[in-house]
Amino acid sequence: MKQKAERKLWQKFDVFSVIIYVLLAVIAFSMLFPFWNAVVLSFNEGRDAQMGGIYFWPRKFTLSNYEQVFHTPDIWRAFFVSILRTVLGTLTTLIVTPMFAYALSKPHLKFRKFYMGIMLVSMYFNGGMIPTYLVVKGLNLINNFWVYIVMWMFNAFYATIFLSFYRGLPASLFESAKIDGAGEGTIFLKIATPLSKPTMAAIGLFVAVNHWNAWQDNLLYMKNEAWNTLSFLFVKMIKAQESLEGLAAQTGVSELSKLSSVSSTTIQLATMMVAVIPIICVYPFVQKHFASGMMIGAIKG
Amino acid sequence: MKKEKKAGARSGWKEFLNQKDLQLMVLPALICIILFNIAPLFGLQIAFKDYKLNLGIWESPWAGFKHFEAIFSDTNIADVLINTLGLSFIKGFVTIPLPIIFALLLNEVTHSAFKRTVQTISYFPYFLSWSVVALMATSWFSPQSGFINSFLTGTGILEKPYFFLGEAGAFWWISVFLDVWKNIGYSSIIYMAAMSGVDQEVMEAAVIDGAGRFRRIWHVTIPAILPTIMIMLILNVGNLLKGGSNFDISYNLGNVLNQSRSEILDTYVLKIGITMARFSYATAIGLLQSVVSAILLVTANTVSKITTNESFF
Repeated sequence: MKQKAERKLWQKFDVFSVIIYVLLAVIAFSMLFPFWNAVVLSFNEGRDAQMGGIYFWPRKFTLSNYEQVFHTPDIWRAFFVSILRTVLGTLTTLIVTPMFAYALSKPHLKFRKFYMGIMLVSMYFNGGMIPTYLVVKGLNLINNFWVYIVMWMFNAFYATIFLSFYRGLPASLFESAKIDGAGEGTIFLKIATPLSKPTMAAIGLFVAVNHWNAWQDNLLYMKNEAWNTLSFLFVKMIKAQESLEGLAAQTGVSELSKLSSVSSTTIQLATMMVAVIPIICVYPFVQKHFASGMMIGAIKG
Repeated sequence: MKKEKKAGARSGWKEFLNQKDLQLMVLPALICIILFNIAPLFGLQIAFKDYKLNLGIWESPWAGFKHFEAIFSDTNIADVLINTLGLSFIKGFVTIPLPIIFALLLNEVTHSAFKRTVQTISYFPYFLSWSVVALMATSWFSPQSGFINSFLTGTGILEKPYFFLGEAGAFWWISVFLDVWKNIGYSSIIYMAAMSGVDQEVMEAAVIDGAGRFRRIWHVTIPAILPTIMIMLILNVGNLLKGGSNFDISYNLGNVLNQSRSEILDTYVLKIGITMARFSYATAIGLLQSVVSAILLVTANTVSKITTNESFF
């Protein structure tokens, strides 16, 4: 991999190559710069940031935004709620979904066609926001931490990935274990699961990232502030600021919006970094998996 | 005859018990599907009922098509529909071609370290939460601290800072920009995968026959990714009324100042249903939206099947 790729017959370096490289460099820059700018602002003094004109580097460097963040108990709490839901959510998904797929990979499974059908239905049809909300309400899951977990435990797309993996395993692997008297549960745990480790790791990473980033279930089903997730804190920050800015625009008092958002933008961005750093940490692993094209198979269906 | 059937049923039951460990493995997922996918489907009936909290889904009285008729006399619906369709059409014209162009450009790059760097940067925003992206957007577009206003006033394009997020006319473009920024890299992967399947010998043959860079792309690479493009187009038509990321953007960045251009069907259903507790009416809107989406999807699929022989199902 390290050695330079051999240049093919048609890949000669001409003026168009230069244009392509420049274009791609511009695209990459415009992808990276807005994020970098947010990072820079989180290290800048709040009042100074309000004057604008900060692009690539902090004008008045400070760590006080981060200090503020670390001294806010609500942020700590939301951080741990997010960690809890991510860990529990990923673990339960990695139990429920592959278990289902493993059973369905057995052609002799009774009602297999029915299970398959119901899985396909769940892939393409859903009741929509309100009926789902009413069911969740009926199950007493409103304002209940477990609403973050149970609705994600089964995922039909990941199930199809596991299903094609288990189907690809040679039947002889399982037959010898069966002759030794192992039950299906043991075979699943001792033979199928260790073999599926790479698949588990890849899907686990995706599930974890999705859990970490989720905010809509918090908005719809969790009114208890104590169980807010980190991702949802940002929604609340945006809404709080919007209402102030709206007020300022309506009353024509531009000083009001200036006053209220003094230093708050930079602190908000520092809080944002707390949510983004874990994503940056797992990103190399995630990228390795999806670049291999595995997740695309799931999209293609 | 009867006896035989009974015996068959009994052996079926026996078979079921014999594989009870397998059946137990199905059970948790089955419960999840029934509770969170199938039960809400039955809940759709409240679109034809007057849903009362104390009576529940099944006991509430039938109301016929009352709520569907109400949709057509709702004065907000026109704006909401214009925004939903407008955003979807603009995004269709932008978010389908741009990832293809991006993938075509990347495919021409021979320097592997450069290619990998561009890919790493461009895929990254996809893995950020929409709430994070929306928060950053409030900073980028801010009249005070935002770099966009700083740049525009600094270069003299604008005389004074512009409150982009408070302007209805700017909302669609902000939404398109954020969607492209977050998803262009990730959306290009599917085309990169299709391009990597191009037969190298066909490529060589084209070059020996004297094809230049553009003819090669036009006659070899594009035909190879055409099936993928068609599938993406069909899915996009099916999503005209739903639009994947539109809810994330419209909910987070929509406010009283820009709501005439930011309110879409999904945020409207949320407002009517959850905030105002008009469950039956909101469900009727959602159901109509899904039915029209399904019709659009099937139509697009059929048209594509007839004209290009490519289809999704």
